[in-house]
Amino acid sequence: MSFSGIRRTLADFGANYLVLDVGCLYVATTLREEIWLYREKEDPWLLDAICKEAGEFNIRDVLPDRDLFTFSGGEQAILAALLILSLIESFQLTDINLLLCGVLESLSGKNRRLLVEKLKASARRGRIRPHVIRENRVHCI
Amino acid sequence: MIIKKGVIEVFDHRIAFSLAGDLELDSGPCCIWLSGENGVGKTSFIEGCLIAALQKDRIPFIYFGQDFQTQYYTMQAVLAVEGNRIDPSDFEKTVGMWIERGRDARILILDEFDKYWDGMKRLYALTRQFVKTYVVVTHDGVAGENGPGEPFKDRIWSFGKTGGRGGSSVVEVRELTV
Repeated sequence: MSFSGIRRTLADFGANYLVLDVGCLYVATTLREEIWLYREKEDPWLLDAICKEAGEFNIRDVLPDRDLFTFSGGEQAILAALLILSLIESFQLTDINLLLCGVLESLSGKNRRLLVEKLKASARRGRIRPHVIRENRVHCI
Repeated sequence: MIIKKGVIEVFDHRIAFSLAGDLELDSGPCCIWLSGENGVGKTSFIEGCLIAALQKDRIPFIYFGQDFQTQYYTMQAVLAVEGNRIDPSDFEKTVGMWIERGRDARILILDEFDKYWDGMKRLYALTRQFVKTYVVVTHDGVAGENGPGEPFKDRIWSFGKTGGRGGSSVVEVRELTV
């Protein structure tokens, strides 16, 4: 897999997936703003849920108005994944093809296992079908 | 070059690295693996301590940062301005050209570069003739067959948060026996 290979794979498959790409995880600069873009309103419940779950990954000081880019790369990837999973639950969506690009590779072994558990739990509830890119092909988790 | 034992505060004192012993670079062919959980400060150490020390001692190095996508676009622009023909879709060729441009480097720093290129063996092959020390952050297996191999000796620098002190977080850095 190379950077240009990822780009080609996303160009080939991206239209059919909700893509979480480690190279461009966020539009806004804070969790509060990012959630607002999706929900078109404040959602303190969602913010609180994400902050609590982040604690399971030992991510500290997850505040609604903290600059997301002051977190480490791996922490940003985790928060983005938790945000997407929470939003999917919040909107009660089902059967979403979720494609993780570079996200799991950014995580330590312990955090990777924990995030994969959460992805699989969401899949068991019928919310998502999680996938990753490996060797320029899309694979189910 | 030695980063001396003791406490180094970086980034307006928001993070302090407590080195349990001297950390030596450039003492012989080696591959130094930075090991620790997400958010512990490995990238902050590279950017705040390691690169600062290399620049101070004027040791030439190449750095492939964690946010490589942005860096890649900058690399393409610089190479194009210097008169090179660039094919943005040919990642390996573009990276190869960048490496060729920096053949006086003795240190190659790779922060999660394996996320972008699974040809790490090829990268080591391209650079082993002139690089003396690799500094690698990866979450996909430390040392052994993941590294450049002989004569580069594997070394591990382990990072662990030990708490906070006056507004800074304190991270202990120690070299582990491989």
